[in-house]
Formats: sequence, structure tokens, C-alpha cells
Amino acid sequence: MNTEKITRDLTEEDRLDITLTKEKKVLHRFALNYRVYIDEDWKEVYRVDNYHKFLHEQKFWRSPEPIPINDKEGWQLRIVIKHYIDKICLNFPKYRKYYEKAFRKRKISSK
Amino acid sequence: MKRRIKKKELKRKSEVLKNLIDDVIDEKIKLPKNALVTDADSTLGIMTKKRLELINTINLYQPNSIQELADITHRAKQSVDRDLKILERFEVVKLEKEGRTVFPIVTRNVIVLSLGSKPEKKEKLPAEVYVGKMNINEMMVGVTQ
Repeated sequence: MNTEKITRDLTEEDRLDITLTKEKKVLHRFALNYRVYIDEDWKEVYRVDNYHKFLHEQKFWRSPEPIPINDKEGWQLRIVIKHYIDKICLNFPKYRKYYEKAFRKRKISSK
Repeated sequence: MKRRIKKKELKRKSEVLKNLIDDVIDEKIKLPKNALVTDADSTLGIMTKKRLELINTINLYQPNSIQELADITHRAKQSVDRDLKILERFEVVKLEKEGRTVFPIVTRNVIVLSLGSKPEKKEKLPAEVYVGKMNINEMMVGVTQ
């Protein structure tokens, strides 16, 4: 099995990291990791993957706690990836806004 | 101020990315390790002649400090510092700290420039539609080496 990592810039301050673990054109595992550049650092905002043997997402503006995705468990991985690429590409400005809001709040409360 | 991105543009990005994933899974294209796939828009804004020269100089001379890099390139330390920070944000350069000194290293030697998406329906389309078809040989932009 080999793992390929690809980074796609969505804007200058938004990036999507794609990790694909495959064997002979068959995809076994994947991770999509959306991150943003805030306060001179890249921060994870949203992640979806099927590592740890189950499909789950993490919405870091809420908490890093994984949220299981049960309704797509039987789906072909290629279709799942495409579904979440669409979701991330179409919604990342919104995710960024949520994260920035939570980040500012946490920063204020930690002072 | 941050530019508001149009939905059409977001959809286009998604389509290009999905096609790229298909090609990678089906092994139609082989990307370099830890490839950074980018648009012409963002690359042209970041990769100025002077910044490309900085990347080349770091690879060639492996300077031990930003001052040393500024001296080699005959540029002011302040402007070199500013350019390095932009390249660091773009994840092409990393600024390593050793005690009180900061020195740059190049983390990516290749970036992949996406020229667009291939059409969904391949049949009965005029030849010019294929001009923007993703072709890894045309997409590769060697930054250094």
C-alpha cells in the first residue's frame, strides 16, 4: 500500500490537504484536512477521514472530538471523497468564519 | 480586505480537484511527493523573480542566517525577511531556529500548476475544448533544481 499526500490551495490563506492510501488503483483510506492561516500559523479547521477504521469528521471550531458519519458507511470511498471535496470547496469560507469566531473567543477567554 | 469568492469559482475549484483525485487514484498522473497543487492566480502573486532567486540561493548556498542570505543576494535584510515570511506562509520555505539565529530551508522544490479541468463529456466536443485539459507535463513548474 502506498500513501500519497497532495496539498491544494483554495486561497492564499486556505488549504486542503488530501491523503490517499491505495493499492493498485484501489483506495483503502483517505483524509481531507482543511486548514487556514491565522495568527502567523496554519490551523486545522475541518477534517474528514476513515482512518481508525471508521468514517468520521472533526469540526475544530466546536471541538476536536470525532463525529462518526454513519449514513455514508456503505458508500464507495471515491464517491465519499468527492462528496466531501464538494462540501469543503463550497463551504470553506463559512467554516473559516466559524473557526475565526471560536478562535477569537478562545483567545479572549485564555487571557 | 479579503476578496469574496464567487460560488461559481468554488464549484470550479471543486471540479478540478475531483478530476485530479480520479487521475491520481487511477494512476493516470504521478504527482511528486507532498505536491502542492496551485492556481496560476495565487502562484503568480507569490512567485516573483526575486523570491524564486531566494529559493534558488537557499538551495545552492544553504545560508546559516537571513543576514547571510541577504548578503549573498545583495538585498536588504528587511526585504529578504519579508519575502521569506511570504514563502513560509506558502509552505515553500521553512524558517528554522537554532538558538538566536534563524535560517531558511526549502521544503518544496516543485509546485504543480493546475491549468483547469478536463471536460466531463469527451465525445463530440470541438478540439479547442481540450486545450485546458490537465496534462501533468504542462502542469509541472520546476521552482528549483
